[in-house]
Amino acid sequence: MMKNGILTIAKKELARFFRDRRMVLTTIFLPGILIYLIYSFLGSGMSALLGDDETAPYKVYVENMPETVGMLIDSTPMLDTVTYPSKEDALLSLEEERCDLVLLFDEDFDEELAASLAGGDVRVTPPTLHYYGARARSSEAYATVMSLLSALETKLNPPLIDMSESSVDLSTEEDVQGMLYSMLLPMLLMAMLFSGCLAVAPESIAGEKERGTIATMLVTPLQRSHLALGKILSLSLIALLSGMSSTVGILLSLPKLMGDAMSTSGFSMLGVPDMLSLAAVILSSVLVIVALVSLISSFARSVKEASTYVAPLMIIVMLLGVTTMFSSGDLMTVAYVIPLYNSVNCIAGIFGGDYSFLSIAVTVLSNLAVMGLLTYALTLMFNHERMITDKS
Amino acid sequence: MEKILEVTGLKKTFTLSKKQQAIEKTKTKKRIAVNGLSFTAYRGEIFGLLGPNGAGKTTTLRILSTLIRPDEGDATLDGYSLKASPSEVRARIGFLTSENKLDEFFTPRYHFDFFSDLYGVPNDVRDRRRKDLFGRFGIDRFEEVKLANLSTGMKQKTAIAVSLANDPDVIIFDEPTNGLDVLTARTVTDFLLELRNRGKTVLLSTHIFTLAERVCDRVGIIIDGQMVKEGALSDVIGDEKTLEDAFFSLYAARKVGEE
Repeated sequence: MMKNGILTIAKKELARFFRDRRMVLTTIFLPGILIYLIYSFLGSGMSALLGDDETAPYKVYVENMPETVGMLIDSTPMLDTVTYPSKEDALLSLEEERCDLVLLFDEDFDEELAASLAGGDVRVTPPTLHYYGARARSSEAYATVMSLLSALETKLNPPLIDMSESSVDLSTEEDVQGMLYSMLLPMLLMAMLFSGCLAVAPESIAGEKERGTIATMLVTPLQRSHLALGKILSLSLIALLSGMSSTVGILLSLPKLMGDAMSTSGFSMLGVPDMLSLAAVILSSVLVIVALVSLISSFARSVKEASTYVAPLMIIVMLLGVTTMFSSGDLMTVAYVIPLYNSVNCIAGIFGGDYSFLSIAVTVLSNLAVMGLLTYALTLMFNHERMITDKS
Repeated sequence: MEKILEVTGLKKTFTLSKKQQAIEKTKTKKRIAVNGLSFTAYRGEIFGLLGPNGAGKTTTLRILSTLIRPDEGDATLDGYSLKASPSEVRARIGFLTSENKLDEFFTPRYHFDFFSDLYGVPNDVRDRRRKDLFGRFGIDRFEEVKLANLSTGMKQKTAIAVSLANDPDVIIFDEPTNGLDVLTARTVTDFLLELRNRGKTVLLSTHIFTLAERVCDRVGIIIDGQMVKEGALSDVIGDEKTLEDAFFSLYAARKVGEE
């Protein structure tokens, strides 16, 4: 009885990959670990730059606090006045980063200001500000105080109204996180899945062509469609593992990178139906990408040439991923027929909590149909003598 | 004698790329690799396909192994047409050429089992066959060593063993002793004779005339894609001392005719 050619090819492809410890390390483990480490490092670096407690008020020492300025500083939650025995002590504190800004007013500032506002020919002595421009918090404290002083110059009358106290934001924390994930994850997920495909498909198709090993298989009675399907299915599994590793790395590191805006992992917001929908969309997308990259690779004479051919496709996928950041998400069902574009919109919808099972079904069926067409095209390529004669 | 391979009027033309045109210093866009080639091979014989480089030997073998399709003509192998039933033909041949390689990442044993599976060989038959062939070539000691770590000779022996995984009726060998040391080359040529004695048909492409004289029952000489002489080894040698002399006579006569 004829053995299953698809299974034989798939087993060989998986053996080729998993028996090569270096390939497994660089394709599956390293991407996730590196992404986690890099994003976490970036996140902690940003935290360090912003200070240990970036929400704490800036500490400002004010000498000869004028009444008008005192009112403004008191109404600004980001500013906290501190006292020191002398100006020199305050400047020492500024140097030692215990204080963010030293503000020195003339004793007669209020009188000069009042006279100036009353139309008198009085020159107001400007305050002196001491700060460190290279320090994030000191620089921010300076900018905050400068904006207050500008307001004092132009908007002292009528009095200022704190709009933040009269505004109410009704969004929950989960809504905000969902929106952020639905904007970021489609692009990141597609990019990671595509990278996974790129790591294996050109090597498996163009590499075998380049080395002459595919010709040895083509001499056997193995059906070309079995060869195409066996390769696509096994490569999809590897690409999926690579993509999953990168995705886990991203999801674990995003809270560290984005801080409070993404304090929970993206997947923890999803229910079981969401997870199943996401899995179906990702699986069908990987099949399309692997089939597409495999077909393009079959035209190349070497792995290097295949990588060059596939590079523009990576840009297209990234651009498709970005579209969800600017669209309202209200797509017509027919738009879910377009491969890859449907996937990014479905992923955005799933994380944003705004999708229908019809759109998921259309996406999966469309992706499977496209994968079928691409597999057929790859089968034709395996039958074409170009696979044998076209070598670098 | 029973005909097993009958080749009739094979023709194959390739389109040259600009790069190839530059390399070959020609402005001609088409190159006829094989031009109306016909010959017959019988069961249980070694048929030698002889000719200089570029004569069309490799293209002929690629057509016979179904890797490329002829523009014109056809061939039947054990009654099956190359064009109409390529899968049937593939199931009945073994093909060894330096251009078709084995993945150096895998071991000889893995390759043998993998290709046996592709041919649909039952596991018990596969194991028995592997033991026989690996023992015959001395591969058994290295069957779990990656090809990348084996010598050129051992790789070639593995390739021969793998090409016989399906116990084919017709075995096509393209320059099987190329790059081999004298001992390994002798092992290979002895094995060709052994195959013939077991009733197999061997189609041997070579430009080493002494090898052809030693093992071939019948030969065909190809020049410029055409069969210029086909017959029993003694008939082709004719009044000349050696096969090589006969070839040069044929070659000179053809070139004079062209002028």
